[in-house]
Amino acid sequence: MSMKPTRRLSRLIVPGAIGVLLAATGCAGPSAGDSDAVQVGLLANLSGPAATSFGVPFQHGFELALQQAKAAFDDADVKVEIQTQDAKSEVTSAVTGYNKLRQAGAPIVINDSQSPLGQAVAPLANDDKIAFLSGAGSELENKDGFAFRFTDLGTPTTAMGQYLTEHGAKRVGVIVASDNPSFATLADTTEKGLPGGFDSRQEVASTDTDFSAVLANLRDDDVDAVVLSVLPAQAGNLMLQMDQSGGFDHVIRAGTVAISSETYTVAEDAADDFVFPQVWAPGMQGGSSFEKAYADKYDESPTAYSALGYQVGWTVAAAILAADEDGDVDGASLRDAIPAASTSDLVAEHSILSLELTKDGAAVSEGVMASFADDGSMQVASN
Amino acid sequence: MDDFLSLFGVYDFAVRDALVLVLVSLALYVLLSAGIFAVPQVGLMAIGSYGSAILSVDMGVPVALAVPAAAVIAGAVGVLLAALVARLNGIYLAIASIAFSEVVRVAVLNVPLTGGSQGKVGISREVTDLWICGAVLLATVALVWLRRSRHGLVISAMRVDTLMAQHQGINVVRVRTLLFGLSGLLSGTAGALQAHTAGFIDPGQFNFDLLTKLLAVVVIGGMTFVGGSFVGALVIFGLPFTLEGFAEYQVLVNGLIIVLVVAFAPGGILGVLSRLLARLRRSDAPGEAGSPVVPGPGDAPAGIGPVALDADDVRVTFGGVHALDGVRLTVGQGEVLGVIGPNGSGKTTLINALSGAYTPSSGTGAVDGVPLALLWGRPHLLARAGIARTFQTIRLMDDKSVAANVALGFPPQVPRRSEATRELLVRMGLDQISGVPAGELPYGVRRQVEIARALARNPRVLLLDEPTAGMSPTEREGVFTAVDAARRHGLAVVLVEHDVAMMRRFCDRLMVLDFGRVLAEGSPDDVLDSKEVIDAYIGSGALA
Amino acid sequence: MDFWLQQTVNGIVLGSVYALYASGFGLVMASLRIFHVAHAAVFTWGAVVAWDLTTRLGWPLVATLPVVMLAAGLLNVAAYFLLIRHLLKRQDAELAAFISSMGGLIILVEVAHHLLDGAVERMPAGVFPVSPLELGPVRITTLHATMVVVSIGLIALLAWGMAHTQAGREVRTVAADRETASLLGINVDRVSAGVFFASGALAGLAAAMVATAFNVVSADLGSGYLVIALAAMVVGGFGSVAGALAGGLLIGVASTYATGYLDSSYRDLVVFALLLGFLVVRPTGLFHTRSELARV
Repeated sequence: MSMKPTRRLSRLIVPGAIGVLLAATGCAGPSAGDSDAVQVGLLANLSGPAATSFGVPFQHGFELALQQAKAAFDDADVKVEIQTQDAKSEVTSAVTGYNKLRQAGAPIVINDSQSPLGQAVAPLANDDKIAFLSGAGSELENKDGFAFRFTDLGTPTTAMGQYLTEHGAKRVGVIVASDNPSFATLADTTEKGLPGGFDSRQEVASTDTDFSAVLANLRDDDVDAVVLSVLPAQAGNLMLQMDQSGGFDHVIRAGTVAISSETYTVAEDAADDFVFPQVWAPGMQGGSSFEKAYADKYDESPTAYSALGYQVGWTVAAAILAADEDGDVDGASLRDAIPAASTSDLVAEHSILSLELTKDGAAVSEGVMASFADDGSMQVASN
Repeated sequence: MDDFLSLFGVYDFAVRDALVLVLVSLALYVLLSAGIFAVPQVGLMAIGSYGSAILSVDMGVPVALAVPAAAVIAGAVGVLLAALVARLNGIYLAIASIAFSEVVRVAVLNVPLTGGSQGKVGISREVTDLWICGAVLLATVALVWLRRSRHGLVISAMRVDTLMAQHQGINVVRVRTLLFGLSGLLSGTAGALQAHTAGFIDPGQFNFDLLTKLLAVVVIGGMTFVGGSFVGALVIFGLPFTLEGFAEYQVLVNGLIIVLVVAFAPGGILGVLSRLLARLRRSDAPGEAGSPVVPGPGDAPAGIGPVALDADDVRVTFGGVHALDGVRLTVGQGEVLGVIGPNGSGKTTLINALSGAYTPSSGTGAVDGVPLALLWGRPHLLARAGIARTFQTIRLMDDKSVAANVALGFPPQVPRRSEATRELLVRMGLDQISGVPAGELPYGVRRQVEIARALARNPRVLLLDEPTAGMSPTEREGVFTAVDAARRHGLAVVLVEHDVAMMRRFCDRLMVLDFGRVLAEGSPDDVLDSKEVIDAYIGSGALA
Repeated sequence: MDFWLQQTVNGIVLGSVYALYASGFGLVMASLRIFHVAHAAVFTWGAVVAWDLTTRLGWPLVATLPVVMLAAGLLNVAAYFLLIRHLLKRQDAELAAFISSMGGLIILVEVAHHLLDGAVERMPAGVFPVSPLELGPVRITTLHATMVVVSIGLIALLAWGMAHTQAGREVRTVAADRETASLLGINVDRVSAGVFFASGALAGLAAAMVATAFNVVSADLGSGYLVIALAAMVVGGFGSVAGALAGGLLIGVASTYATGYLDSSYRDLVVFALLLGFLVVRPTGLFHTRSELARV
């Protein structure tokens, strides 16, 4: 007897569930906005774990750039609107956000970070012929060339290797968080800058907290420099544990582009002589007006990711102007315009860092060597 | 037709993803609804994902073959895992299954072909919505069918009470192994479909967080309902999309919902709904109480026949204490052997040893010609060999009807089970209440249902452990009438009871246990009047 | 040889942390048959409380320990009453308690996440006089050495208490059978709450030391050790206090040896191969404590 209602229920559940979903979703979706305007889709991680470090500063920098580009748009009589969707640091939300942007008619979508998000969206963007700029660390599927990555993990990181060689490092070790794809890639690219490669490679997991075993290995391998290709907080922790366990007094400590202020929060004084590459750092040449405008607008100092957002923003602006000049602004014309736009005069004029987007969807960015100042802020490293 | 889920508009990917996760939730349901506390599904899903990706990308197998092949691989791994952990139960099984998922996660990061931490990209996305919906539909239909078949009854019995299920002749280990396989098949299918929907595999996703999410889906929807996965998925995956600004608190709210549902609605949303519906329906029909037992067909007393159960030198030890110390017992067809003795003398231990709940350290003999040495400690084999029992505390499926409880007793090969059940219920005088959930019956009637279930198997030997404890005199009379009817059919009965007067009147033979040894045995009058027995009872102050 | 000694010491340090975590976790599991995953969150909160006391009030680590143990113990007792107690009479008590505890874990971790704003913090410098010690060829910090001594001492004390005190006997009686224990006049609720308190206090102590020694205070601190603690329990033997110590040390040493002698990338493989091996060959672990008797 108790089974009967259940049967009836299970018969109702599936169609019922679908009905509710349809009702909930059918009426959703953003309005298309001004029909003449070019809809620039910003798929930013505004909540979730990637928000504070990547999504929010990127959005700020990006919006600042497009705001400053308004004069140029007006001159060319082009209307541009930013449509923002929260990717929530999660694949499903990212794809849903992307779909909403597609529905709003955006010919171009920019996503700040996280490899899986980029990997999920890139094939769709190629299918939909929407230009897609992603901060993904890993390679993206890109059959029709619509996907671009704007993070160059390679060049600045390779420069790190060269820096170490120049500073007399003979035996270089690396600690890599091997369960995270970005850090494995970063370690490999650093090695390219080292003529002799790594003399000691130690793998840890992103969740590790005790490093005495790998530190003992490094001491035993007698290294004079160590590259920390791990999460920012973990890098800080590693330097503290180096100091605490001893034996690393004369060892150069180097990081990767992934280092952030979080490293200093953990390491504090232990990060004194720490050097690491960054896409951009405060005090870099030509950045002072950007820093000032940013601080005025958002009441905070820009980070490397703000700068990246700013640079990508100008690149997008230049691509839209170029595509408009040649005819219609759509996904295909933007795809064709982006590589040249990234090094165009307009971008060069406002540029705060070097970032070239290539036709095959990769990026070339030189970056800079940075270190922590006494108050924990980043600065361009003094040689 | 290929992407009809596009009718969900921008949410098409979210719906596809949710459907795939519903499939994994169903895989959780398969084990949890059978009371198997094991959660290896995330690991099995990873095997399905990587299996299909490696087959199609690296080995050039067409996707249409790679997906089912990967599902079968995951199913096979499920069976293998079940065999590995066959000795574990309860929380230990849960831990082992979580450890398994962790082993898979670590292996994936280190084995060649999986792409390590980079995962795999460029996986063919030719899986259409038809595949996804087809797989979910097929799984749902299959599981609903399974639930309504006799297997469904077996699975419910395992969930409610594994030991009781074993005593109904169910090979719990075998059923468990098959269900692990089924769970693997579903998880593997889901994993493969996910890989081919997204076009890439992110190895980071197969973690404990995914498991908590899936468990939340199943628990909130209703763990024992096939539809529970759908309802739960609607809550867990649907809410964040319908409530703006909810994202920040979603995880917190999920945690709260889980705690509250487990505390106040253990059957989940569907459990609450089905109970409400059942109550509505119940109020239409007048309540029916149990009817008195009608004695069975009046066969002439057959007299005591050949030996049905013969056991000798039965010893059971618990940590150095000899609970049974070399007990010898025989009982013939149509004979009632009463077992009495002070508390702690080993009466229940004897029943538990003879029925397989405990494993004796030694013991010889045979039941219906089958050597006991092959059967000790295996309740399902002892049940199949012809030993049926009732329990000191009644063990029924309280939420199932009387008819379902009795039907469980029939061996699978019985044709037309429902008719056979009805006949037995009529004979036991229980047919008026066949549709009432067992949990709602008075104590005496519940005991009769338990005896009916024991008789359904048409056993050679019936073991009754204090069947009338705590009953009114009328209820007692009913039970003894039922036992008497069974005896007339030539059944051998071993009866443990405290009521010495009743035992003297009713039993053909009495056996007295004290400190795990047989103190006396013989005709009731001889035994009860012997000085030794009186001393033992007075010594322990327990003469009834 | 020097290298071997060094890695062995490293393994013992790491293993003693695993052991301390696993023994508190295992205490609840063995005596009440509850897979109390929220233990991970209690551990995290132990670290958060220690961090708060040292940063905000400037206490030295040693002074915070009693407060942290009390707070974490009480938090675990609250978890018992709010998440577990009402479920124990259910037919599917083990599963229900696990899921409820999982809900608690989610809530507690999420609150910690909001409190810490998702960041990884560290204990202020100087809360404990950390300095490198060189014992012959072996380097160890004062804090690591203290941690090993405290862990092993506490676990030994716990094992002794379980075996030889009235409270220990009561816990073992409850573990054997709650109903019988209650018939014998044992206040099962009080004993259960006591077990949860002890388990939580151990977690709090371990967390405060781990947070200081490894410079990490984060919402996921406790969850990170959950799986490895499960492994330690499988290897050591479910629910045995001595087993937790042996399992923790074995896993700790195995992982540092794998790092030192094979390749650091094989570490997890070695640990989990060990785990899988025990599951297959000896699922009861090194210290087989109790056979799974069916109760009728």
